Amino acid sequence: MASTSSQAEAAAVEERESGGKRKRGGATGEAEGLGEEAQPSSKWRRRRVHEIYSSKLLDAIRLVRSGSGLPASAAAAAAADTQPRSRAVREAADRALAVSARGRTHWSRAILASHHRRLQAARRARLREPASPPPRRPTSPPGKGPKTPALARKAKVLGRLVPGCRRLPFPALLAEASDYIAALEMQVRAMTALADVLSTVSASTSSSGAASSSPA
Amino acid sequence: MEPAPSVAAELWQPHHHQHQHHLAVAPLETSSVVTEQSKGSRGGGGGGGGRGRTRPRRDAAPEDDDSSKVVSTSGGGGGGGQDSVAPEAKDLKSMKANDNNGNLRTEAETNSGNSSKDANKSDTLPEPPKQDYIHVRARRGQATDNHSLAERARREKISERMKLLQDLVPGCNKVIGKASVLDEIINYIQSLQHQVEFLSMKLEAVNTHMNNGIVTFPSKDFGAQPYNTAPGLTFDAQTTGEYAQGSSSEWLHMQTGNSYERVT
Repeated sequence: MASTSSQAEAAAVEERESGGKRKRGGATGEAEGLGEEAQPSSKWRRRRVHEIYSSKLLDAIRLVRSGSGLPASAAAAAAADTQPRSRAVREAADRALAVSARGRTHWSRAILASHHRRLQAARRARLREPASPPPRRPTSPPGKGPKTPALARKAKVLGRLVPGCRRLPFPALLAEASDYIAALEMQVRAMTALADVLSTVSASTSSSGAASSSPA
Repeated sequence: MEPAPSVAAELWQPHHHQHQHHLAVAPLETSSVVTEQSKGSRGGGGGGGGRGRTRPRRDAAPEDDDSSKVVSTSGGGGGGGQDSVAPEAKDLKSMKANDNNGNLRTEAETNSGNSSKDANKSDTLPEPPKQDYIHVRARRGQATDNHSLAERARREKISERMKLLQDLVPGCNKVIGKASVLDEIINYIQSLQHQVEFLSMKLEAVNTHMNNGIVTFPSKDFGAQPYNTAPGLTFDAQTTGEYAQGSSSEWLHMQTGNSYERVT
């Protein structure tokens, strides 16, 4: 049944975590007194965060798979409805990543905030007609700082790439970018492994199903 | 509480050439003892501020003045006794340091009396350093007025973050210059995002196929099937191989195979 295959998925994911070699242990990097991790690369390479992300992603994918069956689970259902289906998985993956970031970074808060805003808009659109998108002010740079315009342009591009970091000052932008890069790397690793697991699981189910159903 | 710049200059041992968080001396008593206190709960621990410090910080009560050597200070939440602020306190520059305790600030003292072009020396403070301040030494030949110090701290913060990014992005060590490094970073982020996009489409495809596969779930004699059909499936006994991915996928294939057998 479907439950067995999902058990297989969960078990497969767990085993994958235990087989992998990832950083564990206490805080690396430079922080001493508070035990807080200052280095984004070490923070996003821990096994724990990888597991958290993988399990959240698995749940999100399962929700997307079940479609809009449960209106109570408005998160996945609304995301699948308001946007084309093609982006549902991607949005779910990004949201899971933002949740794993524990909300200390600008980009994670921006991802969750934009999703929340879209949910609100969808709810409001369903209930009543007017849906007002939040107005956006145009940004006007006052003057040229110590950065040359070339650097300023690249900084803007970078601000557009990292979600929610358009108007950050440059050093904060760099910090956000480093954390975002580390998080993206973890996301790619986790999704690769998950895709491998699921593809082999589905390949074995379909092939075994086909093989045993044909002679029957 | 009197400033004794000459005495401090004598006692100063200029073997730190770090441009960041450094030393400040505060002659406490009228005697020519220069002591530094940054007393606080996290005195010793926070002394590093993350970088290698040449001198360990010393937790000392404001009245301790035994040693006559210069002790380094660090912000770290351990403020010294902030009671005595001498009226001739020099203007303190506070610059932000981006280390563990987010509130560390660097300060440079400039003595109005002395020339600020003193090589590798910053002048002493009459009072013990305040909480959350790190004292910075001005480099030789560099101006130590407020604006340039602030700018220098800001530039150093930026360059620190760029170094972090360079370590993170592969292939970024070869380029030199902020613009190229930023280009590489932008390319890398874009490529990572594309990878995520591609993987999400792949996961979606797997999802839909899994939906189809689940429907035709057989009830018997598929224990052997997954072992033969799943690609790249090996059953090596050594699961803790060097390659993490390989070992983990073996594990999970065994798990999925076992779970299938359990159904029958």
